[in-house]
Amino acid sequence: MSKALSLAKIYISSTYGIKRFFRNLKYNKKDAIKSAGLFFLILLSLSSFFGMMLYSYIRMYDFLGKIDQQGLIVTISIIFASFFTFILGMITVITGYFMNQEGDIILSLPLRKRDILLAKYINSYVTELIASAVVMGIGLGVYGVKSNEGILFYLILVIASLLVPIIPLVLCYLIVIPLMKIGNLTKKKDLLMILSGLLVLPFAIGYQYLINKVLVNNNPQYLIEFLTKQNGLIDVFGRVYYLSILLSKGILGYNTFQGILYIIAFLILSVSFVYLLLILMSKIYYSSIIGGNEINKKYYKLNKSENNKIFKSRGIISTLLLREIKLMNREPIYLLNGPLVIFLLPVMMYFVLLFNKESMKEITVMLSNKDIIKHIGIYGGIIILFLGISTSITSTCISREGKGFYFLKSLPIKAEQLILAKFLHGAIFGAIGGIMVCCLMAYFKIPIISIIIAFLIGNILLFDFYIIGIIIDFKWPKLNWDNPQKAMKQNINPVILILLSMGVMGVSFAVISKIKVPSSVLEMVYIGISGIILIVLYIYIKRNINQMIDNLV
Amino acid sequence: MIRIQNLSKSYGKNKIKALDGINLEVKKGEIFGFLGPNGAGKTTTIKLITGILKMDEGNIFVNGMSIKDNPIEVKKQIGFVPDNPEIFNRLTGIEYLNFIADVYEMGKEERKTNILKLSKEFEIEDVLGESIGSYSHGMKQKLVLIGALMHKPPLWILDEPMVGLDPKAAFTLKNMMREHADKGNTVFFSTHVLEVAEKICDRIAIIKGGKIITVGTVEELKNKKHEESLEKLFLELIENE
Repeated sequence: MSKALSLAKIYISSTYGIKRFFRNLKYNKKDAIKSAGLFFLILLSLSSFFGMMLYSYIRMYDFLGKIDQQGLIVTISIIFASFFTFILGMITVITGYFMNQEGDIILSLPLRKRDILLAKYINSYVTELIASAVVMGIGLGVYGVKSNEGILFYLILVIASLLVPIIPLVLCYLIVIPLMKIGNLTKKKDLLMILSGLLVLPFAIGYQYLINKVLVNNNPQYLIEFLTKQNGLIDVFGRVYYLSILLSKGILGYNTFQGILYIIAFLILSVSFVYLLLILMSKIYYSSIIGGNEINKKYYKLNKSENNKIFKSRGIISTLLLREIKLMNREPIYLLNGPLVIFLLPVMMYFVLLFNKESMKEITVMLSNKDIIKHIGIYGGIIILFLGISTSITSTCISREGKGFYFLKSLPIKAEQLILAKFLHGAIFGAIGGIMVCCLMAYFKIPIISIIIAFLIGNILLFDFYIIGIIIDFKWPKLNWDNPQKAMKQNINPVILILLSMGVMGVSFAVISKIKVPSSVLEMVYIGISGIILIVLYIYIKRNINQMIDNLV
Repeated sequence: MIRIQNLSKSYGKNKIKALDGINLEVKKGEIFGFLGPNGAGKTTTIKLITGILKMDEGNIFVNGMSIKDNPIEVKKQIGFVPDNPEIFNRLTGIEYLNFIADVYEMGKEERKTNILKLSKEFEIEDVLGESIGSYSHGMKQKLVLIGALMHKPPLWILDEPMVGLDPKAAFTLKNMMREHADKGNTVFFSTHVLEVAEKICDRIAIIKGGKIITVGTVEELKNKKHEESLEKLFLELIENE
């Protein structure tokens, strides 16, 4: 156990850089401020989501108060937190499954298989805990404040937040480990990582569906029915995951002996699940990470028939572009968090609308509103911008190179060529995202001219943002990493870009609602301003690119 | 072939000097060994010659061209092997070599002939279709070597090239270095393996604390210090200079 904890400390330190943060706080304040900045930027980008949740819970409390069913808030919070930590858990487990150097160093140490799995579990648990604390904190916080609960309730809230993610995370490992074992056996580790990542999709759609049903609902009667009727949310969850009901009974009866017993029972069951995971999966887990880098040797014959394809020569830009695309799309962590987002977000949205007739109706009503349809070209363009930015292609384009960037610098490649390839990489996927959004717009029977305008505005805005992304990643690259997720998921640069795009979104909505000008004028203004910014950015990057590359040491 | 003039480089806020005004000339047709303890400044020098780092002071000329003024033309003259071959792990071996060939503007026939020849000599022709990430350290080193040599640059700059190579590949590389130099080209390489340096280098330089402490042929240096082996000479210089 103590060995597992020691190893977990190393994993946590490597994944989250907490120790490094405190060391930087003492010796390198600039880096410490950057890390803290990243944390706050992430919080800021999620603040609208948290705010919406908070508002919805307050409103729901008032609805449910009318029929004296406020306690349902607790159950809903636990259900949401369990569901959310399960989805997040799947992503966390997959991205942290193969730690760099694990095969070479950790596996060679005299550690029990069970210790290695437990350490990895604890490492994933830290992320889950943060998510659980936020989701539980908002729901139960509303309940506690509105019901004037005492300090003991908040203590129970802390304990419940600690307990909620344990079982969902165990379930994640129970699903992912066998898949990775198959990946190891078939030597198709990357494919199985991507497939495991895609497994999250239906759950994420389901979660989004529930959020829409419960939190973004204006009909109290419908809400109460949805929650409490037979086959309603609580009934279904009671059957699928009864433990959530058990914990909610514990929290609601926290000041009774029976309530405490429920919480203790939940605690014992949670620990038992972890124990069961260790018993059932330690060996399989170990065998799934051992030899993780091995591949099936398909002996490659440089025979005559293939020569023409194999030795094809390309121009410098196309070879650089191809390298960019291959390096990104073949790394499952990059693919899942990058280019795949372009396909997944519209698909998710489509399914949510398909299953949620109310939202579909709302959108249809919204689109029949003349004021909205008038500016649909701009709205569409902003959605394209947001989707294109979500790929993080250019905002991590230098960081993803890692230490290999120094080798790249030794090659006779002009800085302009390298940057153009990186820009084109983003632009290609931005255009694909644009086409996806345009298809959705066509599905809602938006006039073709508005679709074209949306595509134009979205892509010109994206060009601006892609250059800004490249500049930002040049200024603050994350080149020293031992795990590719650090270049992508622990990188402040994509967050900055997403926040900037949210700023554009906010300004656009304000401009459209306040300034009453014909839509065509506004569209021209958008294209014009974006175009001018593009020219300015082009001049800036052309003048400074050599200096920017030289500055990377 | 290489002329280093008053080269200085510092790192970090405290401006710790990694190189302190070094001067060095490496001639055409020679294998030049660059020796020194860890942290002496070998890799920094190599990174400055290859344009990876920017110098604080001084200049470097390759074939008469300054790396400051003509970085692309200088880089075209160089075949570089870094000290760590961890690069582009998600590409296959052949994709990597094709990428390098495209960068050096090699034609289809030229690249085909050279890739086939070198991959056979280093015995990795069967794994060129596999992802570089699945290669062993030695295989990666061989691949990077092929990438550096296949466009036939006049100047080879090799940072610890023997690390990870099996004896046969190391032997092949040493022969290739000799052949390359005998054709009037230049090999500049760093190594910690003093036996290799003693056997194949025409001249060596020893660097310590960012300063070159001696330059010459192995025999000249041994005679000067009355030492019987390069190893003893190296240790004496490192201890006493």
